[in-house]
Amino acid sequence: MSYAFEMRDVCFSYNSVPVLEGISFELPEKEYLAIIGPNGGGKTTLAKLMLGLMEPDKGEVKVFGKPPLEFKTRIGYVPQYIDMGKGFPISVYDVVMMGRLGRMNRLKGPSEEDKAVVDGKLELLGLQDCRKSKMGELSGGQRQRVLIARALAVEPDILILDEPTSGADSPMQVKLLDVLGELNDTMTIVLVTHDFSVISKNVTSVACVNRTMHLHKSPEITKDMLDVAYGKGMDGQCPVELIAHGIPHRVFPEHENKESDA
Amino acid sequence: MLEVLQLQFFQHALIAGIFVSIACGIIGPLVVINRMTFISGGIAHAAYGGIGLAFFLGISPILGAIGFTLVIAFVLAAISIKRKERTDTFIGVIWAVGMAFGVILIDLSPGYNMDLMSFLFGSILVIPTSDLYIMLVLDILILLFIGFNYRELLAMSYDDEFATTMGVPVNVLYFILIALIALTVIVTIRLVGLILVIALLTIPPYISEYYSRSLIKMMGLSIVFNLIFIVAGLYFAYALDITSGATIIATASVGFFLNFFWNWARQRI
Repeated sequence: MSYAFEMRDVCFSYNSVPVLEGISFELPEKEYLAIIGPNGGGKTTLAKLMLGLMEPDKGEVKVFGKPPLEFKTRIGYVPQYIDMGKGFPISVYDVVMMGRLGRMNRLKGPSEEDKAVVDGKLELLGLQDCRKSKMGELSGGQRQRVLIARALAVEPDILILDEPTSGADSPMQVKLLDVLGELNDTMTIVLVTHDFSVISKNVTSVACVNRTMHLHKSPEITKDMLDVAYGKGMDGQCPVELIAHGIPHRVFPEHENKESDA
Repeated sequence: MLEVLQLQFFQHALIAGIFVSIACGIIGPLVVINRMTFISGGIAHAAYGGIGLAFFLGISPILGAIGFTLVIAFVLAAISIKRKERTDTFIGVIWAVGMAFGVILIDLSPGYNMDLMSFLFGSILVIPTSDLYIMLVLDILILLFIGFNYRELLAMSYDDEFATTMGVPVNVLYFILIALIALTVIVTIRLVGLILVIALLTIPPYISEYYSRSLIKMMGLSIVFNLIFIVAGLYFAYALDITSGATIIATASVGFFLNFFWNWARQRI
């Protein structure tokens, strides 16, 4: 069977400081993977390796059985909040149209189909009224939605989102997570976040990344994962205070008060 | 005022001004939105090494500068891709070394000492017809490059990683862009000199950016502003008998501050 993603013993270091070591996993199609871990733990690097934007020092990365950059139309990427400054001369519509570059005939420019897809994605994310606005005039949350619309305009089989909720307010976050849940019917989703509260009921597996990776094929956050992600706390206590309001679907397992894997 | 148009050197300067407006008006916005002002300054100053080399070898200064500067530009492009965190240091080094190299070679060159000032600050008296052809060829190259790669360049400038996932050859475009910046800088040196080139690449795009929702509009407006500043500057330089390069830049800076105060006032009222 073909996996959406496969990694074999992948290592990556930056200026000879290891960032990721011995990463191996397979992700079947139509999964909804949440990648969590502390800031600086290598989450974004892992996402960029999956995208083919970085080359591993060692090991192999495959997307649908091939090197990632072979596909121009199968992966939609939503980068971490980018700020190009207020002045950058580009409209919302033109940013979303970038998502069509992999399919567009560059001499002819956008086809009717390209335009229809862009209009559709703008509507899906509630952006139809600001399609002509300059990107710099939008709020942080709106800009994030534009970047999601751009990734969806690719009409991808895989959507990779890096901290997509960072610019959004709470109601927007909930709405965004609902949209991702619906999209998961038709595509594989990889959500990178340091924020446990955005792991919604729709997530099918969770990967904890902190130099190494632990993949859990259930939408649960276990103490092991917290230990890997954030280091062991004192006396076996959870080092992170986890409070999530308004998401009654998820239950954290009870912490065991003894060292489980000493 | 109109009899000045009959003077051949002024006609040449005017035609050069139009060609330079187009080149700087298209390349300048790309320099500004890609934050490449410093690298452009480095290329402009390093070009002096090429001018020195040309004089030393007795070949055309503009051709010497083109060859030498393209090499420097590609080195800088490679460094800024491979060693991003060190780019500004290398630009600073090449900036100074290129100039020193040029000065020494001109000192060592036999024959008369050519007018250093005309390359530093421009001179409208020294534009031969052959240079006009070089400018025309450059404008055509730039228009072709933009025409075929507009969307890719926009995507690269806005978000090079996303552009890469879309199959845009980001590094190739970056090398071509650097080469075109180098060529633009060299032909602009004739008109305003290498020290002041950077102003024509940054002031008109900066003014235009505020009024533009698209890169193509920013380029169009930059061409218009460049034309206004260059033609007005050339006229003042002739009428007052002062250095053309400095006069053009002075005109552009008046435009810059007028625009600045106009926007400032509009936001208060």
